[in-house]
Amino acid sequence: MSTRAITEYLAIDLERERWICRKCQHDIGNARENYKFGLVLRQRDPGEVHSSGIGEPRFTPDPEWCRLVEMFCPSCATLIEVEYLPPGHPITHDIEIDLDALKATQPVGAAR
Amino acid sequence: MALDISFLLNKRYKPEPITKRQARAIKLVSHEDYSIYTQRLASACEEGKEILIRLGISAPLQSGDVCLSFHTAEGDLALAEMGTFLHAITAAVPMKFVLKHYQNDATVGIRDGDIFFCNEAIYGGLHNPDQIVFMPIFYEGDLIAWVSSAGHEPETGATEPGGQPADARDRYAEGLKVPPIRIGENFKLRRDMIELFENMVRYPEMIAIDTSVKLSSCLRLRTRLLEIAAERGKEFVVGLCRKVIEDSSVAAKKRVKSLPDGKYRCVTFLDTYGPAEALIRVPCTLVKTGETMLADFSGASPELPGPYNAFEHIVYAHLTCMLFQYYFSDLPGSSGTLVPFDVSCPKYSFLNANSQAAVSSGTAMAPIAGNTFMLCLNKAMYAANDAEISTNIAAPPGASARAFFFGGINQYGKEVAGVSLRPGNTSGIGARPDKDGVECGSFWWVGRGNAVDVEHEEVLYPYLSEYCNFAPDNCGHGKFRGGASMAYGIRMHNTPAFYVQTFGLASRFPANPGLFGGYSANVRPGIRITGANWKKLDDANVPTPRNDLELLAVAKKLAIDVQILPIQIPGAMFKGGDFVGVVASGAAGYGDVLERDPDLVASDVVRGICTPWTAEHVYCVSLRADGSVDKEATNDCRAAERKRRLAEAVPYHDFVREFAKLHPPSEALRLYGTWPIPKDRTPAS
Repeated sequence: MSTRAITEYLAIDLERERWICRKCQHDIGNARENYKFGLVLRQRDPGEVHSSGIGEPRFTPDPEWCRLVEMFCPSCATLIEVEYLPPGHPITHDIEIDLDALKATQPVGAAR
Repeated sequence: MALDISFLLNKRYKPEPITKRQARAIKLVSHEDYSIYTQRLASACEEGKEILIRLGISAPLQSGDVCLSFHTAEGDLALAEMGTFLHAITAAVPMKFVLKHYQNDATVGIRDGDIFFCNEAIYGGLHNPDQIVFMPIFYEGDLIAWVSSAGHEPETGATEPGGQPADARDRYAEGLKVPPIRIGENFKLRRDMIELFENMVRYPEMIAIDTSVKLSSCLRLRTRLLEIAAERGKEFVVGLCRKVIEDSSVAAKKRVKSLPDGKYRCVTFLDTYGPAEALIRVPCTLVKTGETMLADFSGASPELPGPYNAFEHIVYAHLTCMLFQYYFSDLPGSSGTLVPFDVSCPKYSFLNANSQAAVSSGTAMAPIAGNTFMLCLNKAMYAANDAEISTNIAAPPGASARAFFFGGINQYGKEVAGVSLRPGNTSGIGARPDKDGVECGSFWWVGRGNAVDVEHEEVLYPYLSEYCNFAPDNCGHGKFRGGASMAYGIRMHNTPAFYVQTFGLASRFPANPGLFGGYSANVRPGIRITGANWKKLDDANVPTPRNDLELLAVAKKLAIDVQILPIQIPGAMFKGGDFVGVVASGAAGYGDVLERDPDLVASDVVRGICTPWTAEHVYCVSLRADGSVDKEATNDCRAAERKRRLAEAVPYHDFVREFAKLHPPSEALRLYGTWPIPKDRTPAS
């Protein structure tokens, strides 16, 4: 299988044109689409991560202004991507690689 | 001629087409010559930089917030020593302005020994505290090059001390703004011009001495360049300067080509414009095609009603900071290196304001654009699968621009004004794919800068450092965490009146997102305590708190009134005994927190970088009473968290359907532009 690492936790199987989880090899989805379509997401009050447990509102992000959106591999639960967004803001399509150009630079069968 | 912004509109900070003379002269420079003489240019810039650091009196100069550079006779940056990477583009346009408008003007002209000055953004500078001295270099009667010396002077005679007035509504409230102008002849500064500068600022000695020091460093560069001209002839110098540009361009294009073509996106948010708070959108799409990269900021929020705007070239300068510190860190500091790289900011956004807008604090906002760009670039760099490139991958450095500006009477009865950069220059550096970020290692704009010693500030100004230590939990967590930053608290003494205004971003919304699952650095407030209250702490005879969290704990115990405020505390007069505390910006994390080595978490707790609460609740690490890791309990805790993640998370489209129903409070969006993607902008000033 010719896979190419794209992020710390994601690879693309160039032959099959599929996003793959690098931790568990789970097939995440069509590499010509947003990989986030194949993840599972949860939103949190950012204070669950950023508060130091001291109970001071000014030492933690304002949950009315900011939500922590975490995106996991649906198989191994690895935290693949995080976004800090105002409530309701669209999720970012962050990686849109020109797959045809990528395949042209890496011959099928050449694993990297 | 006034407000001739055609140079900026046409992006003339990029190199001009090669001339016939340059094309001929390049042939005089062999491969061996190039290696030897570019090193001599770089060494000369280092000499100039040391002159500024050792003899300058402003804190930014002493911190290395400077740039020394050689330019072609046409004004293009050949090679610079940075100091601050911002100035990779700032001297070229003023030089080209002088060449276009003054060279053949009988009332001005350009002669050997002339000394020019500029600190005006609409003539190619950044903001007016950044002041450039530059000189033409003649040899045997020919103009063969220019040299420049740039550095930040934190007092400009604006409506508030410190050079970045929070209340400026347009460019006319920002103090001294000088277009390219001759301030000296025959290698000497004109006394009347220095008198003009001194008359317009609150700390006249600073601008007088530092302008003189900048001239000294220019003269050092001139001396070194003329030595080369004497050895090898003037055409050799012309060829050498152009060859640096040409070869840098080739190397940069080759490097850009190795990134996968595509679009890489990131969006971040600011929460502050001066003392007020509002959400401001900073989106970036990095479009990589062949040998070119375009950073497109379409969808940015509109112009802001204050000095928190930038011009497009100011944004470009900030992106070059990230390029030269990371992706292009081994390439020459030359305009050639930037040839493959371009930027686009929507007109009348706060990143590309109208020419009348106030922009003196645009340099505090634009680093977030730099970090947003860097996150996009890092994704492309990782996908390149190239060891030479991946060695420079890192989550962005802290960019919350924390500082405090001041002005008043010091402990010797003397009038002073300036900025304390300790909270700015001790930010963290971002985590990397194989290691944590660097603690207190970043001065966002100045890759090769540092922080002035606490004792040095204490000698000059009427305040003492109460604490100066790591700020717990201010870094971004992750498999590898971002560099910790410093908590800095000062108490005034022996002053009848001292104006202090803190400065910074991110006290509601984290401004430094992480990479590949790494968390952002945290938000942090500003802290103020009146003198009487602090005396209560002295009288209690308790150990001095080592950071802001310890201060809060002690204050709570002793019922001391601590004011916890947005990070940008409005300017006010302070007296002896008053206290103010801010925290430098932490840096972002890298990767999933559950993959972090538990022993590293335990070590962070011991070092005061991470609290026990975060070790337990974020890293899911179980620590014994002696601080060691209970590995079995940690494994159980992490397994439980993975189960919880899958139980609570939902598929993408289900998530988006519900999330889209939410909305931030309307007061948060008053300057945002249209929700959720800002459009239809108009000038605010």
